[in-house]
Amino acid sequence: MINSENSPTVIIPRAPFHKYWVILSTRTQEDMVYRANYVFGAVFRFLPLVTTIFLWYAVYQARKAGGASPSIQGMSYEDMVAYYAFMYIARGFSSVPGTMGDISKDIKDGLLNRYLIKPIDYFGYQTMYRLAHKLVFWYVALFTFPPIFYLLRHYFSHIPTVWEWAAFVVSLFIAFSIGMFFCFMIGTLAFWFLEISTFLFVVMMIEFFMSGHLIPLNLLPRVLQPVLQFSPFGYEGYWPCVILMGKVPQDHLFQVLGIGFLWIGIFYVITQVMWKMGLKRYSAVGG
Amino acid sequence: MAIIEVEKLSKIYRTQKRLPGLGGAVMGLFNRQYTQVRAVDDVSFTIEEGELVGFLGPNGAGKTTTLKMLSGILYPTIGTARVLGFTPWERKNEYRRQFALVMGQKNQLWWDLPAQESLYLNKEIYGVTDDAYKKVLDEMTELLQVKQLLGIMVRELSLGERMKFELIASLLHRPRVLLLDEPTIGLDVVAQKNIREFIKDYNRRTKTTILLTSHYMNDIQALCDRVVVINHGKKIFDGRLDAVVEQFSQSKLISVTFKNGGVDRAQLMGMGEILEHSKVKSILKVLRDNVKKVSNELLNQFDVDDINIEEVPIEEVIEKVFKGTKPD
Amino acid sequence: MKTLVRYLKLTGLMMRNCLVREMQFKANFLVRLFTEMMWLVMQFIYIQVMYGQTGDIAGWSKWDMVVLMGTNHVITQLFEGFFYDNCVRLTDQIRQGDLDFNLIKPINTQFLVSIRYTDYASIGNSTIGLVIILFAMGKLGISVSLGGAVLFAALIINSILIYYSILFVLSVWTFWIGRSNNLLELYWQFGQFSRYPGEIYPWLMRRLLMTLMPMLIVSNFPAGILIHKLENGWVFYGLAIGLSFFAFSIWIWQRGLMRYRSASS
Repeated sequence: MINSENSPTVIIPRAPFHKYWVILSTRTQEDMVYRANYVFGAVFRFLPLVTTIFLWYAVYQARKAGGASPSIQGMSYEDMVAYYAFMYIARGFSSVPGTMGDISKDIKDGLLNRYLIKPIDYFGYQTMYRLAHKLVFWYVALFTFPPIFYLLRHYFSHIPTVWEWAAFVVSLFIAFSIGMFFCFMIGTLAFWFLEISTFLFVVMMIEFFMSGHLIPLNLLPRVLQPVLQFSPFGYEGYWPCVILMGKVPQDHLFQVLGIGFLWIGIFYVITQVMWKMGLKRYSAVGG
Repeated sequence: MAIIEVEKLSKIYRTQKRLPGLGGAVMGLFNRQYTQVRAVDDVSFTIEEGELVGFLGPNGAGKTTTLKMLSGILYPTIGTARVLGFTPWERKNEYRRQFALVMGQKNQLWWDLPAQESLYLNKEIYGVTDDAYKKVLDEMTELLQVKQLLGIMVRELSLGERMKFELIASLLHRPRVLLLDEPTIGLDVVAQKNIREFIKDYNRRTKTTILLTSHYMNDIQALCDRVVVINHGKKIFDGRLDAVVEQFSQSKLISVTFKNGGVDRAQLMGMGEILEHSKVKSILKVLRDNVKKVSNELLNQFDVDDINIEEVPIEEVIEKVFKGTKPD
Repeated sequence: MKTLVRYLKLTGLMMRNCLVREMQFKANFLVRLFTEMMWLVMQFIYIQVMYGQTGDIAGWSKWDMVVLMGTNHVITQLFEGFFYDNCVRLTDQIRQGDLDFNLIKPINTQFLVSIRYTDYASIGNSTIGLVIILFAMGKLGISVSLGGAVLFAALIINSILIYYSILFVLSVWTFWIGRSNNLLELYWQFGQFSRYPGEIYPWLMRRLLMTLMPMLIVSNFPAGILIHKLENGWVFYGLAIGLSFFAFSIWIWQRGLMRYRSASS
């Protein structure tokens, strides 16, 4: 066993950024110590892409042999791979694993009291906490993503315009926000329901599927398109990817982003309402 | 042939020295430095069948590490050991069937099952026949007064009750050697006493060779005639318990009570270190060689009602030994 | 023979203890069933989407693919039910020095740590995979002979053995690295390769996936036997790989134990 008696304790920061530095340096230290592990994990995360690359190649080849068009729903083979590659970026913003569970657990275990007596906003705290995690994730990703994306450069045929870059960045912000707010919304259900861990799991699976992580949304049946295109979950994966790929016409960009912000607003309002109602119930029941 | 033979046993760990902070971690990537920790250092001893031997030493002295090597859990760095004719770390099934290990505050019983089920699992693992199992179980649960607890979930038992079941579980297969690592740690006084009595009685009745480690003096005093003292991985004493004091303590205590008005402190100056003094009673710490002289002086000079010559309490001696200071 | 009986008896006993334990907690059996079904549905949608674009992928038809999906499900569920939890626990036990009591018992320690816990939900779920296979085979209009079924069963067991060996080795790696939870994720990453036909990969990769990282042997082989894409001779190759991996797991376990540092008292 390796002693880790030298890991520094995290001090309550005066400046918010100090906390991030400590977390970063701690994480980096830990990661450096277990460096073989670290390299493995970072690189092998992209392994599923390999399957994707060959699988869709086979699909497109078969289509070619059969004389069908080289593009599926506006996506060429290269686009398909690019989509899945960019999904790693999008999910790096929208996926906040454990948040739903943590929130519901805090509520269920009555740990909320800790936060309620302090002059901080519980959601503010959660957001900061997840942001810190995200910062560490992206700090690590800064070393692993570029080489992989460089290897895949042949798949990125579209050079995004300035507008598309801007829209992409905004869409990442939307992705994170929707990811967080959705977690808040569902997490607050713990005020009313005791055992929601199964429900959370099901919800997360639906979220996963409807974010376009498994299959690009435009490939799903035409019947479902209206629902999928307007759903909030599309912003957690599908939209950032297709925006960066230039699949969204410029005049549509504002509309798409606008709906995204609309969803953030809706979730925000619902969360606030549920939170207030839940707190009332919480204090009434005695915590 | 001795049951346990240990020859120059050593366990040396190599750990990486880590410098603190981010800078240190980066340095650690390029230039790794190691330190050596000698958990067990050149220990040798023999134990005959039926003995009940105590291993005494402070935390981290190496007693548990030694025990774990005798159990085959750890490989030694240097040295040999033979228990019941086997080399423990070869972990032959034949050997493992004949010894048992119990560790204080560590469970081998399944947490979520009634004690009985866990014991039954052990029975099957060790290949104990149904008849033998029933006999041993009845006997032990009776002795330790836990028969009524057999159906209770292990997680709901108290620490003392769990320890008793741990002992039973380890004795189902009637091992010839029993290794106990801090068996009374964390238990209340009554439970400690029960366990000690059980162990002593079991050893007497079955002539099972028992090796017990502890840092509690009480355990050793109550159970063992022979004690091996270990500190910093080295064996510093092996013999009878009372001989420990003789070897490590250079002083004795003279406690004397006076008649007729008593004696002043000043009058006792020069005779020895005054530990306690009141007009009527004094306790002096005197070097062994001077005991006779000082006793005579006291008897001659003062009106002595009673005089007692005692050893320095063993705990004090041991404590000083462990701290590395030579007791005086 | 007597030892085999004894080990089987012990396996049965530990499995029974696990069952008793699981029954104490709420029956999340159905819950697990439901969530696994959701996952299977999603996989099926993926297959459906792909085959909506073309009728044939690398020589595999849609229902061929579904047989593959079902086979993969059976294998992974059985493996996860019997061994996955144990491997995860093993990494903790190694890291925390908690193997002591396993090492002193007079039975093979690798056996003891591998078989200790059973996840009944996963094992139950594997039957869904079987149903899927039968359904797809019906759609394909093919049947399998008794011999074929026997070979299929042998390959399934072989696949479980391969997964076990790989994951066990990854767990044992903790002896060298101190922390190994990342490596177990490799199971999920590499598992991807077993989901799809080996024909989609270029030559070198296919060789790799049939030797060093035999993900193709794991699912493609048993499925291949059923849909007549695999010649019987390959079965022996598959078994040989399985046994070699298993032998390697035993070897590395012994090496790892020499580095074992028990927890300090």
